[in-house]
Amino acid sequence: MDSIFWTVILSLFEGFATTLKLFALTLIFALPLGLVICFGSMSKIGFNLRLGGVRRRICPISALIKTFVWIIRGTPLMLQLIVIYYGPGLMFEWDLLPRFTAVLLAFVINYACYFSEIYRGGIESIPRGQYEAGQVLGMTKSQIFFRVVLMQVVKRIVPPMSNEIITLVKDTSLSRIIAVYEIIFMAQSFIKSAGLIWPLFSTAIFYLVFCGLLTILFGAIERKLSYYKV
Amino acid sequence: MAILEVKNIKKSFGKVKVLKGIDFSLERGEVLAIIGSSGSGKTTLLRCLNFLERADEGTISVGGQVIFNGADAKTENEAVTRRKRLHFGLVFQSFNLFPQYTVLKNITMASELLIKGEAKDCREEYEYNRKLREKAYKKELKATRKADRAALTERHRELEAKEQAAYEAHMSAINANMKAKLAEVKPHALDILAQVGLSDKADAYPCQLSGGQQQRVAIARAWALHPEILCFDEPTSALDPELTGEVLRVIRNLKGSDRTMIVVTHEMEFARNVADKIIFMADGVIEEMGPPEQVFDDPQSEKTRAFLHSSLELTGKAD
Ligand SMILES: Nc1ncnc2c1ncn2[C@@H]1O[C@H](COP(=O)(O)OP(=O)(O)OP(=O)(O)O)[C@@H](O)[C@H]1O
Ligand SMILES: [Mg+2]
Repeated sequence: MDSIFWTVILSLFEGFATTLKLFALTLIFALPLGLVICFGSMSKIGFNLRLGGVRRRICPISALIKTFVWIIRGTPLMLQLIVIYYGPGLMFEWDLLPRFTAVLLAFVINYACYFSEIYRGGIESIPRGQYEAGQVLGMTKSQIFFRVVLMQVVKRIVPPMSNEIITLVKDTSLSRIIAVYEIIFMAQSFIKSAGLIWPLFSTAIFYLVFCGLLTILFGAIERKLSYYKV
Repeated sequence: MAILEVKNIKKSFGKVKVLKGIDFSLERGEVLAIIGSSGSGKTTLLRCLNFLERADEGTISVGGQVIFNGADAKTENEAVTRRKRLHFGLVFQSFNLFPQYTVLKNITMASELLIKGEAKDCREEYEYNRKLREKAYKKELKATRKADRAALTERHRELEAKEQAAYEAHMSAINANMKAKLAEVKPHALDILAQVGLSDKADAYPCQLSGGQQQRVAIARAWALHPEILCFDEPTSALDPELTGEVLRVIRNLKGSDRTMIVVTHEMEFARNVADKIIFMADGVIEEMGPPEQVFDDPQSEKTRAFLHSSLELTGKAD
């Protein structure tokens, strides 16, 4: 084997480390933030308004958050990356954020919005009868949420979550657009510098192996939760 | 004295008047069957009794004590409402078992939480009542002449000292009893499970049971808290016909000395044989009420007659 082979492999692993770091940090921040956004979008805080004889409830927090989620889910992540990286500089002449920080910020916001919708779907899919059964048994609101509803929500959101998380693995490659040195960026650099195309193709192996491992993990979680049906 | 007294309960959803003034009373140990066509308000009545809906007007008294009065302010301490709710139990049409827990855990969970929460509830209720007394005292103080204020303050202080002593005694009793009570929960649940004929299913999950078995677990779960009045909302309507018998048998077996029950049902045969009292509801009012022989064999109202006729036809028992 010639030495260029090992150089390529090494830098692919280096790039993949950045990919993994982005993936893991996005999850760590977006999973809880998604829950906050979810509760915000379901919040009933507000006031009643009489409009032309019809009473309507206005919930500003929920409306605001729903609009935000709509914008984030309705525009390409790539565009969001560019806006977050270049936007503040162009509009307010601020210094650019470090590339990785900008990417992480965009990913966290984007994925938190997607997660929040998954959480909301899960919570709203629990039949009212479960809450009422808890109530007539004298349970408190928090007992009902934590002991009755939560595990049912978890079971329901595992499949859509695993989907979204596997998408995240591949979406990390978008950060290449603002020159974060993730695996695709590293592989592509060999086209120019050494005229090699195979490094780019072989990145697929990294993604496939990692997504395969995640699939196995989520399968195991689903099996672990299969002792009850919701 | 009547164990349950319901007076002039009214409930509307928006402009729709669902209950238009319901009055009835039950003696301890009586079984009441409520029949009536779809939409007549039977479920809504049970939900009002169980505080799942708040009636707009009327009173509900249990054992002579008014636990609900529509005229009272809507705000009430949550722990107080929960305590009141426990006078009643409710078995749902769709069982509503907790799927992630075993049969045994479904039955024991609420009892355990209640026992563990007793001290906390006691503290919360004391604090809540203390604040109410404080408010009332301040109001009274303002309305009192200056000369009499010292006496009032003195009286207030004495009362508070007495209340606090009572509270502390109550708390220590609760804490002392807790362990013993917790140890009782599981054997008690197994006992009840045996009564509904499901001893062998204690460790099964709800999804492993038939509908009839699930409903029997739901009955055991409601019964384990020993509510004074146990309500059933069409307990067999979600079941295949061949499974209704086992559930009705269990309910019949629960009938005993001091087990007061209210059963909303479309099973006329069951109502006639098991109930001590029948209420026929139509359009949010009690159209007819009386012992089964009277309501079924000699109905006074035209509506009752029409309803009984059509429901007998449905079950193929008309002659
Ligand atoms: N939460 C609600 N909001 C609006 N309307 C309601 C609500 N709950 C019940 N109603 C209405 O109240 C009426 C009585 O309903 P209820 O469920 O009490 O009838 P029911 O006698 O139990 O009927 P069924 O035999 O079909 O169970 C119906 O017209 C129903 O549409
Ligand atoms: Mg009903």
